[in-house]
Amino acid sequence: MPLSVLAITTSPRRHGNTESALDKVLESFSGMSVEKVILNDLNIEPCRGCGKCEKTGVCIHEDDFAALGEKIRACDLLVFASPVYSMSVCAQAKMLIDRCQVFWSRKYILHDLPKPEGKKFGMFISAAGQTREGMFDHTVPVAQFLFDVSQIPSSRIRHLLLPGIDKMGAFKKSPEAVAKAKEAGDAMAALMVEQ
Amino acid sequence: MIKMLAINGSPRKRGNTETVLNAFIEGAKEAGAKVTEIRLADLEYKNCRGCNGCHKNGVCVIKDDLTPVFDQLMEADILVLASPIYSMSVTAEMKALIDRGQFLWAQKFVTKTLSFDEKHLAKHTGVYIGTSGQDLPHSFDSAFPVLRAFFNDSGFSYTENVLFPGMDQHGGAKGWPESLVEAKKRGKEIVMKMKK
Repeated sequence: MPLSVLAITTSPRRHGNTESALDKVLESFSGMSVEKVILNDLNIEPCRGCGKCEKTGVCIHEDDFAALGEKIRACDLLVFASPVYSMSVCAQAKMLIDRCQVFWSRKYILHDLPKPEGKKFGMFISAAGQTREGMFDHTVPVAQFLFDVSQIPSSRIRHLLLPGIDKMGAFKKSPEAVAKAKEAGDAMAALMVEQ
Repeated sequence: MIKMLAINGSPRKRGNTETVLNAFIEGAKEAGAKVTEIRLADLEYKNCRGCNGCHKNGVCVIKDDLTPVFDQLMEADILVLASPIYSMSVTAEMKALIDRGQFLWAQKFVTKTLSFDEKHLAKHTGVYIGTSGQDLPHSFDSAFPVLRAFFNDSGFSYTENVLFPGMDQHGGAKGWPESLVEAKKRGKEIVMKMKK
């Protein structure tokens, strides 16, 4: 079985900077089984905070999250991409992450979340228009929640954070950003093969 | 009369956030404020599409239940944003409102058709009411900058946090009567401060 990569792009904008950075990173995973999910094409309701999953381990919603959640649990590498909107992940990404509460409930309350079969890896990709210091400080912890409940340990998580990538097409026009993405992808692929 | 707009971003009815928000509103009303409440979960609205249409003319291309909310918001003296912490930030519903505020940012910094002077900011207060299940040292830290971005763009001085961490260990707001006393007191105080 080749290693499996699940890449989720959450930006409402197709082929924008964050997705372009993701595409560049995915080039590093030749030989692995790569699936790219366009979150905006799926129907995912927001978490209602009803707390049912704390009792049953199952979400009350019946929508595309069920299948996506299984993929998140099954993949060897989860690559999660979101632009910075208003100092955090975009609302679309937040909606998906809030729904992962069902994993949190199973991990921390019910203690019945099955351990992953192999070693899991995580990568967070984010581009921000601005360059000010600490631009990603409040975005990373939200992504970290997703990786934590997906049972990916911190030691196997890498970040590709691209500040100052603002205008449409800015990523592709920046040789530094493209090189940084290639480097991040190659490093992750090497880490996965090594372990 | 002080006009307060209170926006509740919790999806849960009669939950902790709504309960402390109601106590806060009670205090604000006692101090003489006129309060309008909006529950985001009752509205139908879309997420920001990132289309940048607002960067051209300062107007959002989406017309839905949030459109009149932004009109109301600009009329308020006190804007209250209430949200529990979900996955280290505000709820997806609240984040969706905040992302839709991008047209205000565009008016301020791109079309330059919107600005707030010191006098305006002195008379407009932004309040965050937050709850969290766990009492972690940094529970609210990643929510603050998101709220600040929205208050800045809509012309409110974000000076007030009314926070209730560790709801789970207290058995929720209902098992923690002091939280309701505190929320009510803060509601009253913040309105009184504006009257001066």
